[in-house]
Amino acid sequence: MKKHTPCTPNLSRRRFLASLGLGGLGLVLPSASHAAKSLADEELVTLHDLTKCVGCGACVDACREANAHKFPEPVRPFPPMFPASVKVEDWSTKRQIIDRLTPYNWLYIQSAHGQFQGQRFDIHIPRRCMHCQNPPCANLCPWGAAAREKNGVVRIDPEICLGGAKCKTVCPWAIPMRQTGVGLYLKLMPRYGGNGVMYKCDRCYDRLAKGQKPACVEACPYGVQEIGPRSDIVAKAHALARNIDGYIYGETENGGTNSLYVSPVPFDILDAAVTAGPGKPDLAKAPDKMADETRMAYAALFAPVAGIIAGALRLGSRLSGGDDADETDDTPKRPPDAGTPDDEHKGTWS
Amino acid sequence: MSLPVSRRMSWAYVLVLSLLAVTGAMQMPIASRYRIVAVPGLAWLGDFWLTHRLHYLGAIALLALCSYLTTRWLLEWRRSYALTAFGLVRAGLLAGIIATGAVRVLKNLPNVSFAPAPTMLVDWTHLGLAVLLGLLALVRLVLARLAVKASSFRPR
Ligand code: SF4
Ligand code: SF4
Ligand code: SF4
Repeated sequence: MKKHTPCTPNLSRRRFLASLGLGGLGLVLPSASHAAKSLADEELVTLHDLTKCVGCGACVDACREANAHKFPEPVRPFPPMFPASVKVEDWSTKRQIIDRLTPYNWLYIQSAHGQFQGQRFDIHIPRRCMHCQNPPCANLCPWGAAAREKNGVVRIDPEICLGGAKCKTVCPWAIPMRQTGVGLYLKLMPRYGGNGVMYKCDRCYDRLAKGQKPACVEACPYGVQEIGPRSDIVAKAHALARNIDGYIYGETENGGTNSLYVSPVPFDILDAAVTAGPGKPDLAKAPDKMADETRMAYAALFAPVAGIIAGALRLGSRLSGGDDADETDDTPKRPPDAGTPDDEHKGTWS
Repeated sequence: MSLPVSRRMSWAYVLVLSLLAVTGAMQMPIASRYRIVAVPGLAWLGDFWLTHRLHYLGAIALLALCSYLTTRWLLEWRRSYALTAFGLVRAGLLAGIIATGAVRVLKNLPNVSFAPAPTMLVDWTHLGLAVLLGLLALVRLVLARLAVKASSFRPR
C-alpha cells in the first residue's frame, strides 16, 4: 500500500501550465519535483460484491468504532446565527442513528426488495461517499477544505471546513453531513459566516497510511468488499459482472468514481426499490457534473491565442491600410487614470 | 493625440470584470444564507453550477481581452504611452488573479489533485487580489471625480 503524499502534481498539470505559459508556476507549487514519481501512483478503488452482502451491519459498527476519534464534539451553546433564519444542525444528540448518513455515521446499509425476471430479490447496499475521480465537492469548495488526494481518497479537512455545506449541494448524492458548533468558523465570525464542519467517509485515510485496509473492508465477515489499484479492481468488477450476468454502478457515474458496486439486479430497479432522501443517497444515473468545466478549461487555452492573433492582425491592418484610429467605428476614449502626457511625446495609459 | 483604448474595449472590460466579481463572490455559499436568492431576478445567484460555469466563461473572455490588449500594447502603444502607477498596479493584480485562477482551473481537471493547504493559499490569494482590484477601481474613480471637481473650481 502506498502512503499518500500530501500534494500531488502530475504531468498533465505541468503540460497544462506550460500551455498557459505559466510553466514557472509549476516550480513554486509544492512538491513539483515529485512529478515523475506520481505517475506510478494509482487510485485505490473499492469493489462491493452485492451478491454476498447480508446486511449484518458489521461494517457500519467497524466504521463508527474506527473513526470515533474523528467525530465532532460541539461546543455549547451554539453561537446565534445571522440571519436568524439560518438553521443549526445538531446530530450530537442523535449519535445512535445508523439507518442513514450523519456526521456520526458515515456508512449505512440500504436495502432493496422486489422482483426481477420473475424472481424475488433482497439486496443490501453499504452506502457512503463514492470517492469520485473528479469530485465536485472538492472542486467547488470555495475554501480549499475538501480535496481529492492522489490515491483517490476524497476528504474534508475538519480544521479548515467552515460548514457552508456547498459540498453537499453540489455532490450528486448529497453525501457530506453537517454538525454545527465545531471547527474554524467558531474562531472567525460565527454569527455571520460558516455553520460547523462537514463530515463523510474519508476512506479511513489514516489506516491506509499505515498500510491497513479501511475498517469496513476488514470487518466484513462475508468478504463483500475489496480494495486495490484502479486497473485491477475495474477488471475484477467486469469479470464479476460477467460471471453473475450482473451490473456495475460507480464506474462511470459522475464521470467515474472509486467505489464500484456489482449487482445481479439492474441499478435502475434497485434505485426504484430503495428509500432515498436526506442522508440516504439514491442509485440514479449521475452524469459527469464537471464535464462542462473540463471542456471550458481546454477552451480557455485558446483564448490568449485568439487575443494575441487579433492584436497582431490589428497592427497588420493598420500598417497595410494606414488606418490610424483604433476601432474605426468608435471614438477613442480617454481612460480615467490616463494622466496628462508626462512629456511632449509620450502619453500615459493604464 | 488619441489614447489607445476604445470605449468599446473599456465597456467590455467593465462588463467582464463585473460578471467575474459577481459569479466569483457567489462561489461562497452566501446567496441562500443571506436571502439574496429571494430578491426578484437574483435567484440564479444561488445556483452554484450556473455561477461556476459563468465564472469560467468570464475568465475565458478576460483572457482573450487581456491578451489582445497586451499584444497591442507591446506592438504599438508602448512607444507612445507610458503606464501610470495605477495602470502598473492594475496590470500586476490582473496577472496575479489570472495566474491563481488558472491554477484553480487546473486543479479542477480530472486526475489533478492538490492538497488542501496549497489549494487554500491559491483560493485566498485569488480572492484577496480580486478585492484589491475592486478597491483600486474605487479609489481611481473617487480620485477622478475629485480631480474633475477641483478643476471646475480652479481659475483657468
Ligand atoms: S458489507 Fe459485510 S459487514 Fe457490511 S453489511 Fe454487508 S455483509 Fe455485513
Ligand atoms: S460522492 Fe459526493 S462527497 Fe463523495 S467524492 Fe463524490 S462529490 Fe464528493
Ligand atoms: S472507508 Fe472507513 S470511513 Fe469510509 S465507510 Fe469504510 S470504515 Fe467508514
